[in-house]
Amino acid sequence: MSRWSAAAERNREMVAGNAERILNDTTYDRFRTPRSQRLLVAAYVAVTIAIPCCWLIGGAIAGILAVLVAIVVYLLLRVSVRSIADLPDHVLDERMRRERDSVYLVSFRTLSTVVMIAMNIAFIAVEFRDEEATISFDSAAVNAVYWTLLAVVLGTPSVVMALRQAAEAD
Amino acid sequence: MFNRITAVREQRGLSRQEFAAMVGVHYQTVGYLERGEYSPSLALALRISHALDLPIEDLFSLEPPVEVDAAASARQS
Repeated sequence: MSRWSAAAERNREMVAGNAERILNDTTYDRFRTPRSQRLLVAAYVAVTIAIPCCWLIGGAIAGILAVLVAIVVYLLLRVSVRSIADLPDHVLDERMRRERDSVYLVSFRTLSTVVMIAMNIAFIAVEFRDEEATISFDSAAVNAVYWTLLAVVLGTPSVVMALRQAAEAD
Repeated sequence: MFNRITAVREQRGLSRQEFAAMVGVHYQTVGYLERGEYSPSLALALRISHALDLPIEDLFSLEPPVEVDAAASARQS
C-alpha cells in the first residue's frame, strides 16, 4: 500500500469514526426538536441577511461580528441535522443518502432561483442606470458579497434538511 | 408498502439499536421503516428478511399485513 493510499484509508476511518459519533449523539437532542430546528433556521436566515447590512452600514467590526454569529448558528444548525447534509456516502445508510441527495436537489433549485432573481435585479438596475442601486466594489462591498454568498451556499442544504425534518416530526 | 418489522422485532425481543446493527442501518432508519415512512431498497429488504429469518413476502406486502400464524396456515393450505 502506498503512502497516499494509507493516508487516504486513515482519513476514511477517521471520518467514519467521527460520523458514527455524530449520528449516534444524544447530547444535543435539545437542538433537534421541530421548534429548535425552525428557530435555528429563522436565526440563520436573519443573520445571513444581517451580514451584508453590517458590512455596508456598520463597517468592518460589525461585519466581522455578524460573520462570527453566522458561524455559531451554522454549527448549531449542522448539529441539529446531525451533519447528514455534509457527510460522505460511506458513512450514511441508504435512507440518509436518499434524504441528503433530495435535499441537495431542492437546495440547487432554491439557490439557482435566488441567483437568477439577483442577476435580474442587477441587470435591470444597470440597464436603467439607477445610481442608487449600484454599489462600488470597495473592501466593505466585497466582504459583504463574499460572506453572504458563503453563508447562503454552505447553509442552504442544512436549512432545507432542518425544515424537512421539522415538518416530518409534526 | 406495508411491513411487519415492528411486530417481528418485538417478538424476537430486539431493540431498534440491536436490529439496526444487524441490518447495517442507523436506528432512526429502523423507525422510518417501521412507520412505513421509508420503503427499503431490495438489498435492504433482503438483509432484513435474512436478519429476521423470515421470507421477504412475510415481512413486506402491498396490502395491509396479516398475522404470522394466519400467513403460515394460508401457505400450508
